[in-house]
Amino acid sequence: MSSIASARLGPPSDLGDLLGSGEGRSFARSAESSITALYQTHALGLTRLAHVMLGDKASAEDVVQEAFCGLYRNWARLADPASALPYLRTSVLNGCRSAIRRRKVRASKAVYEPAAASAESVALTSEEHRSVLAALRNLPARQREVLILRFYLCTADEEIAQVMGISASTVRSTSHRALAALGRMLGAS
Amino acid sequence: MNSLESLIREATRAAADEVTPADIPPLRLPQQQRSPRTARPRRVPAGPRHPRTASRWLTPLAAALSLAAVVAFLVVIRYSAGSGPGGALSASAPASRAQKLLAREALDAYFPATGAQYTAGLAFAWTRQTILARNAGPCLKQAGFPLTSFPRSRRRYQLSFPDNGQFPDLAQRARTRTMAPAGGDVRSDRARPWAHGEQRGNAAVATCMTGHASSLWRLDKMARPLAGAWLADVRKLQSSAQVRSMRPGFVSCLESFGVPTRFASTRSAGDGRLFAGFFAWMAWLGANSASPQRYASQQRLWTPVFVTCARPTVTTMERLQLAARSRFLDVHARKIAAISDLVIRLIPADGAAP
Repeated sequence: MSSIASARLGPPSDLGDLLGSGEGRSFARSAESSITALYQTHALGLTRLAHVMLGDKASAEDVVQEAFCGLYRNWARLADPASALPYLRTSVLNGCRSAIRRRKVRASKAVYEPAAASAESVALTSEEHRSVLAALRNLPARQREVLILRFYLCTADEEIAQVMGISASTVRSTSHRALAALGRMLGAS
Repeated sequence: MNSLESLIREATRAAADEVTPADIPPLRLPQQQRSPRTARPRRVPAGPRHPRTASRWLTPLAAALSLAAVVAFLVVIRYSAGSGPGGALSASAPASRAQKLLAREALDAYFPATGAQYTAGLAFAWTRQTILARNAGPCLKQAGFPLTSFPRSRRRYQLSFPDNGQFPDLAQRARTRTMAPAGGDVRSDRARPWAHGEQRGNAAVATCMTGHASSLWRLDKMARPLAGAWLADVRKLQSSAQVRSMRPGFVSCLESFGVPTRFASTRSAGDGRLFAGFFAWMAWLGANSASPQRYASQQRLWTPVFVTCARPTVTTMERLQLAARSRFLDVHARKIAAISDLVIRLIPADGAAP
């Protein structure tokens, strides 16, 4: 997070309001360079997170791009530079939820939906892994996100709570329920 | 941590590793403009209103001038950058879908881990060869190094250079029911169309390349050493105990289909060693077929046997190679990004055929 810490954060007004002035232009440049540095550091990790959620590289890339565009639009409102990464993670989770919702709507209308997994993905992941990922993606959104943040990112409960906007005790109870549900699904399959 | 938790961890990490640094597109930030949501009405200062006849025509005039300036700028950029294949694209221009596809195919060509990737990479090899033939072909011919002819159809090109020794594409073998096109080597393990075709180390060739295909020259200079390093890694993996342990199964599978033991158990050095028994059998059949037609029918008969017997070995080695490739691309992320950047400049943004 050193790149964020060194970034100059502007006054607590909207970036759009500042762009007309000279101060606004330099502020926008500073925002751009800070966000570009953030992108270089975190784009891969966030795209991987989105890919784990969605199982589709193209959608994962789109979700991450959207998250960074959202951060750029709201950069001036960010009170604390250290909150940029949690903000991005929250945006990515929200983006993934929307993408899954859109996919479900599309699937209900489409006659034929091709498999999302690429040949490379099929070759790379074992049968057991595929069934775990499929079961994960069948969990309700909140349960899926808690499990992925906890076991893929190894994030602490308090941090998961911050990213998801819920309490730490809810994270623990959701995780417990999600593991039980996943165990049932894998047992059944 | 119980087994379910470790299973989740392994499965999610395996899925995450499918995304490599090369997959990450450049950041595209929105245009700097006031968003409609945050735009506020401009406050009009109090006081007597002045007639604003000038602003009535100044605003559309300014808009028209801005538009004309933008169009002129774009025209200048297009002509100065050179829009043809091999011409330079503006570094900040976002890559089009066709350019991104070519960049992926290039990574498959230089760093294949599976048969499918090797075949996909041949699409890039075709594009490269087409650009080379058009831009530097006459110069190379004059220098005494004419390019060898190659199929004008990209699809035919992809079918013409199978690498059954190192990257067998079993799906393609099963579909075409031949190991190689008529007259081709069933093993073809030295098929690296991007790696030869012009004489390296020759001053006249270097002059042709730098003068007429400088973009390819720069690309080759950057990508070849890295591709060589990757292929060395692949060779190590294919010589590993885990892959070699599959050989007895392959040999006994061939024997169960009727390949004589003296052929099935043939050992060989080099990249085709894993499947040497089958290649030896096909070579014998080729040498003893009365006609090319007879040999073609032998291939139709025996190719499905190869697909069946090689599948366990290929599955094992491709799994290892994909994981290694993911790590390799991670380690060399900076160079990979530079290679991708050079590749997307090879074709125009609209993906028009070179």
